[in-house]
Amino acid sequence: MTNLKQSVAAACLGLPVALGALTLTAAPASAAGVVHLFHRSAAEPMRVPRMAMWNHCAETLDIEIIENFSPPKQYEVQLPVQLSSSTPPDIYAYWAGGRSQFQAATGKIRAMNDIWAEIKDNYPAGVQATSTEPDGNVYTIPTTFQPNVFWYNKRVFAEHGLTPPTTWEDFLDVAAKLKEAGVTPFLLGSKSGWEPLLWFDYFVLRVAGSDFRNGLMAGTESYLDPRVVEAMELWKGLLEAGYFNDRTSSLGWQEMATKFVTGEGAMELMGTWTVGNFIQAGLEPGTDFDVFDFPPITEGIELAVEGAVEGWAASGAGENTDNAIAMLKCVSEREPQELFARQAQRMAANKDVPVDIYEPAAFQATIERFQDMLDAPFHQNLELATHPGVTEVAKRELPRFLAYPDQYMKVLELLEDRRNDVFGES
Amino acid sequence: MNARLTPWLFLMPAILIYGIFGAYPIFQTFAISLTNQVGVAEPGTFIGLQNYVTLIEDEYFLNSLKNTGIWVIAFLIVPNSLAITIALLVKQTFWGAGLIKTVFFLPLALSFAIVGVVWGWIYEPDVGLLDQLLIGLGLDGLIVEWLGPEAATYSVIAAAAWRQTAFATVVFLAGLSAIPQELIEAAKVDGGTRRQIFFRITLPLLKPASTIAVSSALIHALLATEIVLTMTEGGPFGTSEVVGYRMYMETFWNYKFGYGAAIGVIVTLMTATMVVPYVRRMAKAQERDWS
Repeated sequence: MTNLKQSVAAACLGLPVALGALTLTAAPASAAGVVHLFHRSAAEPMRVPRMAMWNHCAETLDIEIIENFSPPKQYEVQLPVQLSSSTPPDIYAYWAGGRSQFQAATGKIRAMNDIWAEIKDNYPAGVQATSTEPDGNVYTIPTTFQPNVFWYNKRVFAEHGLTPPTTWEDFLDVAAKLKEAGVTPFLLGSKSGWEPLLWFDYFVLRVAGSDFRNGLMAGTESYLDPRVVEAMELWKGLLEAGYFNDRTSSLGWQEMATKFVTGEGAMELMGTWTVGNFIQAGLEPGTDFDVFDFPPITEGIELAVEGAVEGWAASGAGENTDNAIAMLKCVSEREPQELFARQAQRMAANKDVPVDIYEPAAFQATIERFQDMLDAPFHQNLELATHPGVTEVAKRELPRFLAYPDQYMKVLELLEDRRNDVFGES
Repeated sequence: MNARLTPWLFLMPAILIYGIFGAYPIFQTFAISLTNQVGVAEPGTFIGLQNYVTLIEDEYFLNSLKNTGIWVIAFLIVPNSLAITIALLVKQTFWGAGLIKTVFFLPLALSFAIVGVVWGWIYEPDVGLLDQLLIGLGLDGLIVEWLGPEAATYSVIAAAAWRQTAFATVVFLAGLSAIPQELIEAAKVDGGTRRQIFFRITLPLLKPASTIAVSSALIHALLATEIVLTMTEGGPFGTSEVVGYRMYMETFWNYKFGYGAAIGVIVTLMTATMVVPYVRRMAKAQERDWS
């Protein structure tokens, strides 16, 4: 009996030790470190290129990636919750622009100033400027940039004998002629709330200029400033003239892309992500559609460009921060960004990524034009450039303005109230 | 062992779990609601009831409160009425009853977030299933902007009610199965009409089931957030915003943790005020019925 007990005890003690030893010897060589990565990818076509970029760096640095991702809408919801937890991701997708500095309130975004000096020359001046926040810090390492521009349907323009407008008067003239011909001049859906922000940004930039707009985003200028009122009145004029499509609040940018392709509408102010819809629908870049700059309004105001610089931030929380920083340095380089840009067909932020990787070849001239835009003052769009509290009101009230243009002063008052609330009265 | 202590020992695990995961967060939320905490990096400063005072004048919050009121009324009436009707129908044994049950129970397998995504597609202008169906039936005149400013709240409620009806149907069906058949048969023998049997026997005996269905409807209506997030994000222009969504926006979007916590406390109080008395009354009624 004693022998049996001893045998069982020996087996109980010995077996786990033996199995443990076996596991140790059989275990594959582990990576030098780990990073938890959280990103926004709706589907494989975007997730795969993103991970190709990160896997390149992971292999180079011998770091293991633990990946987590959500579709964009859910990502917006989940990220703030995750960052407020005690186990935030080490690296997460984010945007350069003023909004990042307010993310610091969560204590889960790390300033990258220490590595920025080493890597900033990987980027053109416009991206460098956009990446530096009003508080003087750099939080996000950029990987893509997407300007918001006017797309116009060349077939529709040709049919009505029109050329892209270069002045405000031309712009109004083109819109009037299209309207008279039964074509919707400007396509704009506001279902997601952010779409009309692009128009607001450009009106403010063209009426009041870059410095004023920077002040507006930083909370030092007022939404009730006469220049903002003038911008809204110009926009109201276009709305009241019937130059926009109807049902703006229940339609989004995808529906607008469809109307653009069918020729129901002639122009759309939108980011470069919409071009995929045009090409998939059979439109040929340069032949069937092209871009033009938002026309000048106030004389002497520089033609600044508005858009989005997307990148990645580190939470700076937890033991993997050094790995996260090494990975972020790596993705600033040409090779990983080229991998991503080639597969995703999104414009890389790194200045050395060649243009010939973008398809179709007919679109490369437009890409070069976008890259040239970075020589002009480049602004993050309103959603990314200011406090999220102000953004919330803009995304809520500007769609209201599209439906009820008469309420423009009420919209500005609400924006001003929120500005005072988040930045303090000044 | 002391006989007075024994029950407490058995209750201790449940009390501990509830205390840590239920009561403590409620008290912590209340404590945060008395501060001006921004984000989670640093605790806020004590400001007393200032957040609650601000809420009374907050146009966005009051709008979300109004919409939550609409949710509560609609959610109490629509899914529960439909569920009783469906439960009575599918309880009958007839050819195809199984198929009907499956069709009505299917939404139960979906989360409110997924229901929101699916119904978002159904409501899409022009190309959505609903518009296409109405066009196909020659009822174009009935088409409205389903997720537009006038209809958004009701469209979202209809989508959520679809799932809630499935849940309530299961509950009422279980309740109907528990009613002794002899009672119904005795009533029939005594000459009771179908109407009399329903209102005097079936409905009173469905009290336990209706307690669950009504409480669930109340809680889901008061906390409706994910379906609003996935379908409309509170829009257009905040017309479909509810208090749960407002709490999320203030806390995680605007980083106003103190303010968001104040909304959380109000939602908790509203839920407790509505659900607890109802459940207690129903429990007492059941005790009375059984004694």
